[in-house]
Amino acid sequence: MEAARILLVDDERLVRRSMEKTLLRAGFDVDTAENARAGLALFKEALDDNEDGPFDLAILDLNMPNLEGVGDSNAGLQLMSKLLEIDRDLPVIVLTAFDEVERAKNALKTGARAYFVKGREAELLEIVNDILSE
Amino acid sequence: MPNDVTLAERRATLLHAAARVGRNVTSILDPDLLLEQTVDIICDEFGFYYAGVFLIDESGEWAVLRAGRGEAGADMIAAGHKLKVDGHSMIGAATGQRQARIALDVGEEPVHFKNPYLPDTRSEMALPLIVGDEVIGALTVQSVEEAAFSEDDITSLQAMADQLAIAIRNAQLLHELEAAHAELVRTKTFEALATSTLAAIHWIGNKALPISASVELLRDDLGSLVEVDPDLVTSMLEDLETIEDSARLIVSVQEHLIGPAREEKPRAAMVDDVLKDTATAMGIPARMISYTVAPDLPLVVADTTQLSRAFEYVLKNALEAMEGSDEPHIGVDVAPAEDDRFVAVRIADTGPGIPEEDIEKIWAAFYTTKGATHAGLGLSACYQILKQADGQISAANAPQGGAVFEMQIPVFDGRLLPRELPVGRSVLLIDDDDAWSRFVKGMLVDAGSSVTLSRDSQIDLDAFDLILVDNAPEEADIRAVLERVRAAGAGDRTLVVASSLRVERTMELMPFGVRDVVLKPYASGALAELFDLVARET
Repeated sequence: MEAARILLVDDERLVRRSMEKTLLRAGFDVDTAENARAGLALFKEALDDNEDGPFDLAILDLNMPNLEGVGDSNAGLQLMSKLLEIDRDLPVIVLTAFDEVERAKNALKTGARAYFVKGREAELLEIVNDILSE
Repeated sequence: MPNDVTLAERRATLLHAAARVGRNVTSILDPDLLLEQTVDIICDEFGFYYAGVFLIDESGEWAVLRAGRGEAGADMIAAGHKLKVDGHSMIGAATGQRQARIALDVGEEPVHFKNPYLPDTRSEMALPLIVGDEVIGALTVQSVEEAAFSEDDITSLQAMADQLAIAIRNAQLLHELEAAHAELVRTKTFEALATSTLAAIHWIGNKALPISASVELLRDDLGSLVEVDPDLVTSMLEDLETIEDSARLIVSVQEHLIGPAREEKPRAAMVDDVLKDTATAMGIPARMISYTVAPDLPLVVADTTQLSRAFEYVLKNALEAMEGSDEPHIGVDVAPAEDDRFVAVRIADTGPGIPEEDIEKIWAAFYTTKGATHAGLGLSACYQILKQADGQISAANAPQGGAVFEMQIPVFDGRLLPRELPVGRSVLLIDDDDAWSRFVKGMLVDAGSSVTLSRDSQIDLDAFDLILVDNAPEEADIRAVLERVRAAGAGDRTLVVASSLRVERTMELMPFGVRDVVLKPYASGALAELFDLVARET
């Protein structure tokens, strides 16, 4: 079976790299971007990628530069709505340091499949595997 | 009548004794110790049968015995001995009129000495304790000799009383200063940290995230190198554990700082319900915790998510204190506080108690006695949460051992706007038969709806307009309940109600397809809103 393709968007270089390595070792095919705009561009490119195909799942930081390139605590939600416009079945995991229940509920209600609080990476793999096996 | 030589000698002796008392008492800075030792010093220096110190209470109406010589003194203090300021007693007269009083048993007025605790007194002098313009109390000295005091002695003994008054006031001021300083340290340290911007908290989280993720990756790598150099790998794994522990601490500091900094949403609540839910959600076994809840407890006002967090910190503290204990037990007592504007929640454990020298320090941020694996922010956060709620928290050691944390939470004194509840609805309540479920059932039935209380969902769910599922049932398995709700296609009419909303729990339950995970209602208005919520179009 071909490895699932994951789009990971986060503006923190070290976070991005360590999560990328965790996912790569778990056998996923990972592409990364450092802001919402670059993430959207990657996602669109992948749609026409005959070799690797489109993304199976997206992991998005909430607080990063938005599509206009401005730091925004809801940039992840903005990007998510764009991605869902293109592929309404895309599973999205929202990633942030803010342990805020209303934000989390809001993310779920606007289409995210799961909300992940940074700092608990063992759980991240579990969430990713659960979602992809559905 | 003493002659001139003995009078002068006596006065000199008294003045010397007064000076010695003065020297001794001014060096004692602890107010309680000062009072306790003063009465002994006075009796020893002057050879009196008894001495006692009265201080005027906050109301200014009573002079309360605060120290007394020997067993008689201890018994009177235990009995709460106090005398009316400006009343008929000698102490009353000394405090009211700012003048020394003498009473001598010369066979004419034996009525003065009817105190059963001090049967041998034959002479008594009461001296006001004055600082500047203020009378702070009075000193009584008593002798077994008849006519032991003369008017001439007043000058010498009043000089001693004046020094004593100043020593008492200084010790009180120092104590107040220390208390104010400790208060400042606990609140300012915390506020400075808690008001760190959310951006800073985001920063901390982001920096800590790669540490534990990288440790995990390195641990995997090392697994494949064991055969090359097992000793080195063992040592490196140990180093990794240190790094991982540190990262975990940083993440927990972040959590503790975010917690109390959250915006407060105070509402009327059943404090015992919030506490029980918290203990259940923490997985504290029922046999380890017991509750005593006063009947007709008033509602409190608090942000229940924050309050639950505070309870969690105290319960966690108790569990950690009881680690290794043979019979760990947490006793919870919820009752109206002495000050009827508050409800008091007492949480007592069977641990070793708190060392006396730490009892004030535990509230300071980053103070911990549990070693480097604890950040020392839990109780500090707790203190901050209670303070934000206009309540308070204190800690003490119980006489029978173990620590007791007492939290005072303000009683809800606003008017709850009664809202009309819908009529003729059919509601399923999946919960234990507890105070909250009885409250909800009572209100809905009174309004003309039918309510079924069930511990699980093994009934026909189609029959209900609204299904309320308690987030922390003691007996039911909430996942199994929600699975059935989903299978029956009743998710849209189902709300999980929780006394506190936590992100992990909410995220765990929302995917079962329930309508929402919301705060538990503790009043008719909040309950009516739940009907509005499920009636709303998705």
